[in-house]
Amino acid sequence: MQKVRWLAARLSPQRLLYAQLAIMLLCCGLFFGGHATAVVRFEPRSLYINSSVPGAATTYKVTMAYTTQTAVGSLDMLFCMDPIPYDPCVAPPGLDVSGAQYSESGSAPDTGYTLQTESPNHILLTRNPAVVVDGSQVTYTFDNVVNPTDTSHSFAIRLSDYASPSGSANMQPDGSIGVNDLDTIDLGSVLAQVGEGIEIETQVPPYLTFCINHTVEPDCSSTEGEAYTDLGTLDPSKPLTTTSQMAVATNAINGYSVSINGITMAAGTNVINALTVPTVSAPGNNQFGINLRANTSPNMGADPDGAGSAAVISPSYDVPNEFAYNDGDTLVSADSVAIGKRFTISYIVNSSPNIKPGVYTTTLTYFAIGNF
Amino acid sequence: MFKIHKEKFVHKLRDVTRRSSLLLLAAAFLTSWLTTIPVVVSADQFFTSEFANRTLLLSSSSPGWAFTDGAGNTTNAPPGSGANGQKTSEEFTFNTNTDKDTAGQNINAFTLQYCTGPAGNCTNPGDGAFTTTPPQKSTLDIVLPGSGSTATLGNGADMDGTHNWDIKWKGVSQAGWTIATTHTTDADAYVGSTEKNFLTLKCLVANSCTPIPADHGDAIEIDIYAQNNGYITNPGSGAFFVRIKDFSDSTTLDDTTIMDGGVTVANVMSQSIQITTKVLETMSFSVGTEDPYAYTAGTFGPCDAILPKAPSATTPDNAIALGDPSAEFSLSTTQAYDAYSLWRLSSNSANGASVYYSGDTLRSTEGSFIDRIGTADDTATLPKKGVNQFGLALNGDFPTGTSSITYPGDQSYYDTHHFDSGYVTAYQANDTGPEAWHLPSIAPLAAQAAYSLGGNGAAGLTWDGTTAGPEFAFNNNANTTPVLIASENTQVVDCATGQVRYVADVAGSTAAGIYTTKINYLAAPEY
Repeated sequence: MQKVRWLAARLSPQRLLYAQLAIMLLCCGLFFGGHATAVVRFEPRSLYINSSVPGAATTYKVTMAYTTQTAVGSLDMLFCMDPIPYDPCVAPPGLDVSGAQYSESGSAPDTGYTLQTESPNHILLTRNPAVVVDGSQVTYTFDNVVNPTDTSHSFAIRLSDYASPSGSANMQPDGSIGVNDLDTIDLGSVLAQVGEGIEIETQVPPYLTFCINHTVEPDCSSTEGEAYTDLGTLDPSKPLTTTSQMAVATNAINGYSVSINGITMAAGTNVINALTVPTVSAPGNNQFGINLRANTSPNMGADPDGAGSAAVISPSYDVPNEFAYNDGDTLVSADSVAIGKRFTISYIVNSSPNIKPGVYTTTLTYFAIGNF
Repeated sequence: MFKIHKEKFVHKLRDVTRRSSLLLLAAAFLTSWLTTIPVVVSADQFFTSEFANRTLLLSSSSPGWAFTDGAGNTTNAPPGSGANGQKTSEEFTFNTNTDKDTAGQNINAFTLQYCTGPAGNCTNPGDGAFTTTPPQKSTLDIVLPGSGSTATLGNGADMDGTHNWDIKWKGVSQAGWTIATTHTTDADAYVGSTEKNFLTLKCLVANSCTPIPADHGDAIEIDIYAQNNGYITNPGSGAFFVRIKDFSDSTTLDDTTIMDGGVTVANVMSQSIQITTKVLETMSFSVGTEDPYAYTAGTFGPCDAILPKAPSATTPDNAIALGDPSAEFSLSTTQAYDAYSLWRLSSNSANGASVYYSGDTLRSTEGSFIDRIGTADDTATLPKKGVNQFGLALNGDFPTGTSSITYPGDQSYYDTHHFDSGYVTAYQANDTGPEAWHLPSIAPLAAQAAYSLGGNGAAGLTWDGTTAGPEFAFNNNANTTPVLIASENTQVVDCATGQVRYVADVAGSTAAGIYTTKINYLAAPEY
């Protein structure tokens, strides 16, 4: 009897045996366990943003192909700092899709969505469910998306599609979805990164090129002659004439002006009157004047030449065979950048028969001013 | 007292019996559980002379209707792979018992019959006609290439898939054998089953085949290599037995010519173990003006980000001055001036990536601008002094060279910045092996043709527009529509570095003023 009691004590209690069986069955179940289900990635997939300027409103284009050919009612796009769909979503600082305007390009049935903006970093495209085409690429475009401002790290759009037009019923408030979320059909993330561009700065230095002499090149590369001219003896029967040339060029944005300064021909208190208005040459009369045109009476001078086209002659000096002079007058001007142009200045001096004798002289000074 | 004790004893005995029954049940279950593990085991049949050391090795224990990899594709589940139960290889190994000298006979034929049991009536293993539609089913089937019922022997290493099947005697492939398959059963796995479950291997004199003069204990190996057109399909579930016999005659295969026999057993699991993992998307893109490898001594990372300016510099970030450094970086009509910036991209996108630039040409606050170089957008053009033009290009040769670090084309950049020799040493120490990293290079990206000629330029930049040299381009619409400048679409981007060179010339008619622009770079990986 003692042996029987010992035997009874040594045997496992019934409940313990049942527990052991249950554990064994459970292990069998685990061993034969099944298989992990793998959510397939959208492939290929890419994100193109039209501007990488932080904080700028720009266009985003998500190009992708569906992998699982099944009925899709919604496409979810969650903008996060990292692409892992199972992690809580941290919105990229500064990003805002709430003003996004949607358009799409591709073939049905991969299109046909309307835009729902869930939050500043969440977009849901929704439609009546339709079976998508495996491998056919489609582009979803969003205008007026405000870029994030963090340039030190890329950001992601977590893409996922669902049979329901309402997206996933299982997405957590923090934006994560479960590893084995049965609602999710396909997954995938695309990445982009904003950054500061390269600022390039340079300058174009200002210049004003001006030369005057008896003869000059249009680009002032050389000049010839002297600054002094002896016109000879006054003759009431014909004018005394001479010419000089000047050339001007500038990159001043507002062009330039050339003025002439000095008194008329004078000998002490005796003067030869300057022609205050354009007047033809009249020998036998006291006249002093200039123009910047080619003349036939007298035959002298030349019209302006050179590549520049911006410069114009002031009207008083722009009439062939008519001459004028006023101290301080602007002879030539340009209102924009003007490359080299050459002007020929024609001078005439007429005298009356009873002009007082003397040595009549004048010194004319030309000023070229660039208007930068 | 004894009676009481007896009742207690009886009660306890009943209790013990019940517990024992449960224990036995558990033990029986455990035994059956253990036997479902796909191990190579042998089972006994009643043969007068038995093969010894019989084993059967399957390439896959997946059911015959399973032939896809963990991602559901056939890409990584080729014939003979572990995931492919539809097209499996099998390797039989055993030792002969009958000695040729004792029996006076050589081996002229083998038969292998697949059954659901080791003896008795043979039912071909399977649970139905092949279907992948749930509930999936398959029945064992031996498929031979070509006409399907006969084939000739090939020679090859074990399970290498080069040849469909092989017989080896003491490790040496035997030539001239033929193989044939038939549907030979006493009962079928399902009504209408025609799958082949019987292999006959014969050594025919007509094929110049030499019968195997096996001694007692000689090793025999019979291999079936799975290929797309020749394989063995596993049954959908359950165990199957292979009854192996050898014969002294290739014409008469019966009990009068049988020499040895034996049975091997195998089982299929319900499903392979699918292991999935994920490599999540990554991207790193930096834009700046200085390569850190030109400055940092000591420890170098394999892909350090481009710096926005030189260390300890007081200039603004990502700012470059273009022009004569001795004249406040102003432009001249007598020569062009250039400057550089850099970008660096890494991305594990399997379909590569594209890099774009966007921005305007040089423009003053008063509306004057420097023209886009060239006569048309995106047209590589030789710069010409005295002409109003702005452009950019990638140095397509950036950088090339060996340990001496000679970089034609970017010489002006690295000469100026005195490339840190420590980086060279680190590169040389790490340029091979799995952790290898490389000198800065635009590869694997390739520059777009119009923007690929920014190298090959001498200092002085007195280009006259005709002498061969670097060429630049620009797009007048780049400010609103980014322009592709480099891309590739076949592999991940392993730390690509682009050196961008900018050039500007002015004419006498270019208005004076300060000209600026901002060029942005965008990277778009494709996963």
